[in-house]
Amino acid sequence: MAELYIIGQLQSGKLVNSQNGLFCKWSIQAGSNWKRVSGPKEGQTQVDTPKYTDTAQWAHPIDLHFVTKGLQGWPKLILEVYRQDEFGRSDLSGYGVCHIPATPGTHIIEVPTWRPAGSVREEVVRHFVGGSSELSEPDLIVNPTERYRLRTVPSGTVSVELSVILRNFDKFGVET
Amino acid sequence: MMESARDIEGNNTTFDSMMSNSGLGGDRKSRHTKDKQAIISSASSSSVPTSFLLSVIGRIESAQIFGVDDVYCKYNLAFGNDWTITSGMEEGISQITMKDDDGNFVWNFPLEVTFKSCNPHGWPQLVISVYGSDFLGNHVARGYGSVYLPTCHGSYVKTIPLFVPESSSFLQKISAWLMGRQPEFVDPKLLAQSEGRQVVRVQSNGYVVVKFEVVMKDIKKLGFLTSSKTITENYE
Repeated sequence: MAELYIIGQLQSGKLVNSQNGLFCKWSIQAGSNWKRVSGPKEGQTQVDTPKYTDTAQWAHPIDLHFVTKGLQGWPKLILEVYRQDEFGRSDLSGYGVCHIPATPGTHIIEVPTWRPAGSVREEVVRHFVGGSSELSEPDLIVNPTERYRLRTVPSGTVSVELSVILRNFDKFGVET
Repeated sequence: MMESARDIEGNNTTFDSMMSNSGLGGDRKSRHTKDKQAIISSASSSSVPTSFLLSVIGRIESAQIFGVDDVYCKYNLAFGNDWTITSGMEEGISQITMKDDDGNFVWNFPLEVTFKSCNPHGWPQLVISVYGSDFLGNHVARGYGSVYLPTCHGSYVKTIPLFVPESSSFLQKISAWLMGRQPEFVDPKLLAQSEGRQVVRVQSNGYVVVKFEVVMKDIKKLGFLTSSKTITENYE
């Protein structure tokens, strides 16, 4: 079976005009052909409140080993960014998804994030009090068929550095 | 680069001297068979390697940390169970440096290590912790950061963000200020783990610049593809 190693870091998150702490819940989702051999497939980063910049640093390690029998369902990285204010309350800041690169080597991926837009009243409340609309089904982040029902606001970027190591793909005639 | 070149040379000379010693000791025939054996064994080992080597030479060059005066840094290498260090130090401590007019701390601290492994999972990470003394003379943590060693040969400049852990409550913040004991990680290697990070609150306050030269052996022979040419060209 062909093997895929994902080694890297969830590096940082940058938010449009925010003074708050940021953290990120991440998970890696793959199709049914893919089997995870080792390494955690989900996690949550530390909360960083940057002092002098507007970029929260996470430096969160990701180290995963997959084996696969088919190419369908190539692994995806799903990101949920939350902000945390000085009282320790956290609410949603953005969702993002990206595919794990299919070429071996080191990749720096900037994932743009978005959040569902609320009504005018909800947006005003969010601005002054906090608390934002979230997706009731997180599956909507990856499901391309249901996205058309959403109205969203761009909310920043997450920077991910991933090194991809492949093994035995060429034995099956797969070119990467 | 100079150091590693000297190392390789050193190995060569010892190998040569060993050969000439055996030649001096035995007669010509035995030496010949020995040579033959050596060739065969080296050939068989090169065709079916069981592990690969990752050799990293580098320098922890400098840092920018806001609101701090003199600091030193400590490095730890964190790696998985399948990995072993064949040469070099697993951890080290630099000198204490003051900052220059631009606010740069310069350590220029050399880092040389060779790993052996059969499995890329658990790829080594460099964990850097920076300490300094506060106005009372206590040693306090000034920043932590971590980075994966590059997975592909080449030379790299990495800018590693630094952050300090924060007290978990307002009361602890006050007591930390009064007692002069800032929170710090008991084991900096925690930073190399994915689990348990959600309970950590930090404040990022600077960065360290580290330069790496990476050389690898036998990783391709084991079937691992770590780079495609076009990507590395783009990346450089």
